[in-house]
Amino acid sequence: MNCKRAMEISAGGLSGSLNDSEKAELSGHLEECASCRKEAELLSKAWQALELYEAPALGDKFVDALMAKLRAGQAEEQASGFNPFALSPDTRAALAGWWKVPAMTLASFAVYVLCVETGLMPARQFSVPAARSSGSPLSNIFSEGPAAGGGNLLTMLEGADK
Amino acid sequence: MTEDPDQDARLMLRFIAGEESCFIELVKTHKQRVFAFAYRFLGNAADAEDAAQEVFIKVYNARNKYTVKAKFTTWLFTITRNTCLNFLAKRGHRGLFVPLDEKPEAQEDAPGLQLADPKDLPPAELLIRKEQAEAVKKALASLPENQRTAVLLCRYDELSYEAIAEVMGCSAKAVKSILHRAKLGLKEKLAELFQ
Repeated sequence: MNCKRAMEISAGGLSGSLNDSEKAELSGHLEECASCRKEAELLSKAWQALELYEAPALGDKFVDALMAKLRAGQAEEQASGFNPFALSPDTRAALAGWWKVPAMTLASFAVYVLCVETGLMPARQFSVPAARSSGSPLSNIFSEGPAAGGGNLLTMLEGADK
Repeated sequence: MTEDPDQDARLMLRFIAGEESCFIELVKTHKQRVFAFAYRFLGNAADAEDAAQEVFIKVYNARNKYTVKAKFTTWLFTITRNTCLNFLAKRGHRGLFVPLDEKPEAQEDAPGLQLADPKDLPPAELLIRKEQAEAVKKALASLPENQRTAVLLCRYDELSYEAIAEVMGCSAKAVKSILHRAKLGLKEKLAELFQ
């Protein structure tokens, strides 16, 4: 065993995770190598020294303060507004952005209409070849444009407005 | 600490079903561990107590997300670690280390805080221990966050590598490697203490 491996095992074994063969391997090396013995001793002492860092003890007031904080939070939530559906905070968070979908749809439609009206974009024309060939009334509405004989949807809508 | 780990799960399930007294029992059982982790992680008692309260408020509000397949303490320490990280982020980079005697009034006045009684030790011994504790605190604070978390969970809470891995969101092998580096770092930083 070399010194690097001895240090790896030594550091790994501080939390009691060494198997029997690793223990035997390590103790064999430490008997022979004074430098590793010293390093292993320091590692062990440093690990043990952590117990010197004690945390103060919490008393029972902690629980009372926590419950008071929870009650205050709940009261604040109830006072902040009438909620007929009484949704949980998680559900409310999930639904918080629901309005964005219809708002974006409406905004996109408004931009489209504006572009068409100002002539920035030609009106989208729909063609339904199957309906046209069968002589369906649909062919009057969805055609390739007024020149094709039936007029398009926008023309018809404009006609209806008049 | 609850001896039977299933006891925590049972209490949690009863709490989810509406028995609030079970939540109080869970808080009483785990408050000291959560506070101690936060104290050693954040370096001062006032922040640690606030963080511990926030942890249990999160447990209360997130009770429906708890599944029995996850061990309660693992789930609790995951929340604790994330809360402490949030505290560090809120605090900015104004450093972690607060000397043990910098804010004695704040520690004694904090609600529900009882400092360990040092009367049993002779004054000279007490002074040495205080210096050593200060050095350990400094050494821990100087470790990178992941190494500090792994050391706290392994050394003080005696969690297995697998449980630490779950809390930290990495593999058990990675935890072993993180701990190895942390131990070498601590040895370097505390070497003076043993000269």
